[in-house]
Amino acid sequence: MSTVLIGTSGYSYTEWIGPVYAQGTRREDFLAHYAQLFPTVELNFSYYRMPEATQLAAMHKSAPSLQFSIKAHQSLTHTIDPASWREQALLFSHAIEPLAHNQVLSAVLLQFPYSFHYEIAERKYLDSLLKALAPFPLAIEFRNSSWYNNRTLDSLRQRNIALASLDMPSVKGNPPMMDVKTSNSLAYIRLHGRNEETWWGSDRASRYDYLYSAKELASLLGRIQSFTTHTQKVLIYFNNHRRGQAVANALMLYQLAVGGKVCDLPGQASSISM
Amino acid sequence: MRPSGASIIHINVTDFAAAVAVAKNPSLADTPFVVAMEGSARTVVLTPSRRAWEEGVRTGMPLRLAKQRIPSLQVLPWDRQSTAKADAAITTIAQAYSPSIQCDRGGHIYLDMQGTTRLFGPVVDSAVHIRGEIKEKLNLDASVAVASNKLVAKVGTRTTRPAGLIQVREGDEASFLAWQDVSLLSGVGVATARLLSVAGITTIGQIAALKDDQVLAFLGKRGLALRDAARGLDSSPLQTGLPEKRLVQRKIRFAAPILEMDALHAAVVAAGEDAALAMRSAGLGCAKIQIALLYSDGRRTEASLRTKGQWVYDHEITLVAWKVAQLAASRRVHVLSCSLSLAELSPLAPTLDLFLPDAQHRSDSLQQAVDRMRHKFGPGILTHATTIAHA
Repeated sequence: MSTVLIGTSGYSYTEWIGPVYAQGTRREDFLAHYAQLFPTVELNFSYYRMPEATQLAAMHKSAPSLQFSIKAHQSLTHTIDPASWREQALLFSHAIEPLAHNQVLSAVLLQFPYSFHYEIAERKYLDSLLKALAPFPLAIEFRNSSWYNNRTLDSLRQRNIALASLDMPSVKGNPPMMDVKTSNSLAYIRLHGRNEETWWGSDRASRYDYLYSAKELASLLGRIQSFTTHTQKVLIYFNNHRRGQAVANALMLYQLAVGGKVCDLPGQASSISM
Repeated sequence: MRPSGASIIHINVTDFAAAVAVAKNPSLADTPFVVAMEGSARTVVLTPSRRAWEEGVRTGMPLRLAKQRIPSLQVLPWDRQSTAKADAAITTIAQAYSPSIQCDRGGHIYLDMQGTTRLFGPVVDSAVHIRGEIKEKLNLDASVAVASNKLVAKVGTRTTRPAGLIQVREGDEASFLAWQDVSLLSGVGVATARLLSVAGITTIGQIAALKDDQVLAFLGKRGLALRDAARGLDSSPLQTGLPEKRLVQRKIRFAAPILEMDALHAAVVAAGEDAALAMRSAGLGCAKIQIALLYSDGRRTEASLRTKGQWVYDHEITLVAWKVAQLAASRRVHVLSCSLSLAELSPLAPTLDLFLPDAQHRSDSLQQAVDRMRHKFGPGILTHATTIAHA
């Protein structure tokens, strides 16, 4: 039996005023409103700006029921400086400590770019990084397909680290779709939308402009269910954030998962036991 | 999701006999056990359970050694009836999604999903549904892969086993294979893997990168096929129909009607060797051998023999085939032609070359050497003296 938590990647989008947040909602109140809809959120700002402990403690205080996943800072995944990454890892670890201490840290997401290849230097770095972040629950998303091999899977299993399962357009350059349970404690699923036309060569917002159909969500539910055997926690985040579509899809998926019919009315998606 | 052009699904229930045992008796799920046929001095593990596998027990390992590793190891007999039922149930599930399936038994099945997307949606969605049905109806976890050909799909399920899902887009075959371990490639057994590792080759991509002259020097002519496989090239069609209903047949029409038993013997041996080579090349063994003789008066006689086990080697097949031919040759009339059928086919038992009992190891090695020669120089290059004496 697993605890399944559904949420979105990020919550602080001004374009969600209207489709998600009531008109007039202040930006600082977004998180509290979000927590009324979902039991978990994936924080993405931490990729662009190194988070601080006081900031994350305040976020927990404003939404005490919310479980957090947090994306690692880019200095640990995209712009790695061999001379300073350990210091950055320490800063990041210190920042997320309040969430871990209050038992609301569900996962740290390490998202590596296409340029991060399955080569000896990268593997050594990854091993060191995983050791540095070992006290926290970890999930890894690789964008380069070279990592999708049996040795990577074995290594993740040995370390009890989740390989993020991805749903994204099936276009050249994207990694293969792979759902494999590599951790007994955590499964991590990121749904990026399937907008093939705008995936390459457009702005970030257009890339994630997609609304999953009920049929597509039903199929995704089948993928999710395969993780619920012997995995304690399954985290699902919709990243198709444009115009609040991630929220709409997260609620639709919740309805499907609990056996209800798909509805357009916003409700609250609590954790699910599957 | 746009169809990726990949329409082959491979379903692989890892360590099938052990998985079926757990499905039948869920209390075994956390128990280290193996499926083995006890009784001989050098019994080997046929299938380890997941727990036993995690403790280092492997298929083909002597049972004595497995017990040394895990003193509490349970040994279960191979429940052929239950595994056959589970195989049949998986086939039934698969048949609901595609009329074109290759059922290899032992928890392996391929589906060609071409033309089914309007009915079932993207191929990968069908793969998800099939895996879900196998879990729900049979309580079996499966690895499922979607790819453009059987070879890549099979590597896919081997990559994600014991359970998982993977979709390899058409055009991405070589890049997907590149970083996989060589042992995941069909045709690379323990001996070949050892040979490759001596040359520092540990990934499939390293085989793919070899030039023709390097392959020929290192692995011989057979290596070219292995190199093509490493590049993800496979045009083999699905072998539809259940394996036990497939036949490997050879027919010999005599230039002139014969009456001499020695000439018939030569024909049976030649046909048997040729059919057996084709059967082994497909990774199959047989449980039934049938001979049909057509006489100059237009009448026909036939006979067959069955085994509860499996006939694989030339010496077994030619010996049995000759016995069957003698049973069939009940008339003293000139024979026009002789047909030999190897039937009730099933996948070969796992290659146990490291752990085979000595006598069987010798037979296996000899047969493999003979097959290599025939693949290299043609089927007729090595044959039983009988066939030459009466050619």
